[in-house]
Amino acid sequence: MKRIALLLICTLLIGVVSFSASAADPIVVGFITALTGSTSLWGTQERNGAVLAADEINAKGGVLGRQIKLIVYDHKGQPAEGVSAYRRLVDQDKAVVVGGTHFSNISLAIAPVAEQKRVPIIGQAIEPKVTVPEPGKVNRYTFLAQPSSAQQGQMMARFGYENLGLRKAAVLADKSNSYSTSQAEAFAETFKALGGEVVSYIEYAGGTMDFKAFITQIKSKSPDVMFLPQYAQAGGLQVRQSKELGLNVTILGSNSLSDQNYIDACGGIQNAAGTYHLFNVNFDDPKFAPFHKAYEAKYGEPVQTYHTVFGYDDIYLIADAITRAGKVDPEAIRDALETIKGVPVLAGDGMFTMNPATHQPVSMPSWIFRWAADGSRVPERLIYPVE
Amino acid sequence: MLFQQIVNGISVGSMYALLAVGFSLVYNILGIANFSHGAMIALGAFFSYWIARYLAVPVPVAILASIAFTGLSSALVELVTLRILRKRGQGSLYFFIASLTVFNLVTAVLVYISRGNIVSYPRAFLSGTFTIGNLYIPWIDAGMLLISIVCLAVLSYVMFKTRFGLAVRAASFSIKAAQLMGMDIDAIIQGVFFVSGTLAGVTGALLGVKYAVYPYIGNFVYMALFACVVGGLGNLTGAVLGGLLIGLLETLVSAYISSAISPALTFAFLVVILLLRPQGLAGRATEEKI
Repeated sequence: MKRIALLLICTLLIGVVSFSASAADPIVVGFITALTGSTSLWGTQERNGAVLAADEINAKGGVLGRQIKLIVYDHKGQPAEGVSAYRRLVDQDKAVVVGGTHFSNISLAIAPVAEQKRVPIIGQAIEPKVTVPEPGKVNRYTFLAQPSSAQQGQMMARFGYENLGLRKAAVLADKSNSYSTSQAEAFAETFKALGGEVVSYIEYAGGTMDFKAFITQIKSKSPDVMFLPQYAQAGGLQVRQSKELGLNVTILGSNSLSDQNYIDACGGIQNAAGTYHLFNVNFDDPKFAPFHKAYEAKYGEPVQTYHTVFGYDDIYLIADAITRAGKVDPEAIRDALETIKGVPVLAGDGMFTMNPATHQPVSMPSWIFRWAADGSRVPERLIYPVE
Repeated sequence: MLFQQIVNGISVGSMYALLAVGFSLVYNILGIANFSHGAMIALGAFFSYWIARYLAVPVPVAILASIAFTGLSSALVELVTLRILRKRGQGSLYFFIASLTVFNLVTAVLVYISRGNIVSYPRAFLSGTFTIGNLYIPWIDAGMLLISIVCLAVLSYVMFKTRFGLAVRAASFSIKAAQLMGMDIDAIIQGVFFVSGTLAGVTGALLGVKYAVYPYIGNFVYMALFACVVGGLGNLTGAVLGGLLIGLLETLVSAYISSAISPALTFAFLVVILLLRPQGLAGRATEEKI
């Protein structure tokens, strides 16, 4: 009775997920995500995915015959909190490997600490500098598991040029956010390399709400496509103000434009319809049926955002690495993460291979979706980055 | 394209003008920069959003309800800060600090309640656009300009044609003399705060409709301050001119010089204006009040 009560308290306090009655100690795996703050919806979805994966693995007997003990901490959307969560996981909880985050600025802050502490961390930050701080150098203990912002910008440019036949692009980027500028740069570079023309390339100051001066400028160059590597709110405002000024061109955008917020910020689906955006996963694919079923059985509600997949995939990649490492040792797990090859995941095309030179996925594709007039999102195609 | 940019600039400037007038009103009578104006902008934006969203009433009704609320809130702020400080004979610096505190407090509470989220109105209000020749004029911009003009007209009627307006003008000339003439100076000051609060509320709500509703929306109060300084502190016409000028400057600098450093360049222009005309565009050189 006492033991059950203790377990219950632990679960409440630190989000411990599963316990084993077996003699061997569980393997401590840390996870860092946003459980409070403005991005807590994404973070709790990510945690739900991670917990589900750990439960599944433990139900099948765990890893190396031992159970996984998942400890989840909150980074509150702040780099300093992310760093202290990582330190706590490594120093106090003795985690041997850590999952998360999907925030570039937070993972950028954790990366140098991971180099000191020598406990690997794998997450979905989009900024390639998280693992490659400068050309030719790689952070030994940090790994990324989604296409980088540079690859996402490149994929969008190829989709626009090759599949939609667009030739004159305008790019609008938030100068204060590397998520935005790195996608914008890659898009412009690729679009020009393919033979297209970038008629307008505008970087605006962060926090801008009125984009009409830029849109008027863009309109005078008569582009046939506008690339908006933005968060949902800014992207929606830009599209709404474009329509208000009579600029009706194809809109290509980042994966954030998949949020429902985007529709509201656009001023309704009539403005948002036709927008193409990247998306990590095609949830409508029949192969996801078991995943949806397991998720709904556990949480009593359907999956809300794609961040669920981040958490879920991270844990399976970690489990694979521990299995191949053959021992519960951070250094051995690090080596195994570096050589992940053809491991099944939910994102992309369902297979994951790590590039040892960049610690980023090899040829991981992304889906391109289109917002339809009825408010649904239609999968257009799966597109691969060119290395 | 230049004409379109001027239209864009006026649409931004008319909002600044409306903000600046409310800000200027309090400065006019008390010689104090009242930063709780920023709190009222944010409250106006959030209350009209909440009312429209959760009570499912039409957006104009929500805006009207929210204006009444911010007017009362502003009067309440006067009651619990300025009045107490005035009765104790504290200088205007203390009220300046108190008003900044109110601004930050309200912003912090809104960050907490909204969890820092940015939200948009669920349904469009004044959406769409009309064209005159090559010019595209969004209804929301035209509507805001119209509402600004109506507000300013009503305000000038109140200031110049009513007994309350006469009292405010008398008090802004000299609070002591007005008191000696037997005026209820507490009521006048509270009335000014109420009017200023309603102006902040209407602008906040419209900013929310036009852009988005977020806890830091009250930061537009700084644009109000700059507009007032440029136009001439305490001068209502100057506040309108200052607001329009800043809006136009911002837009034209973004369009023709550089987008990413537009805020910096805009302020550099403002510094030049102030060097050439320290009393502001429409201001007279005055001695310090209080």
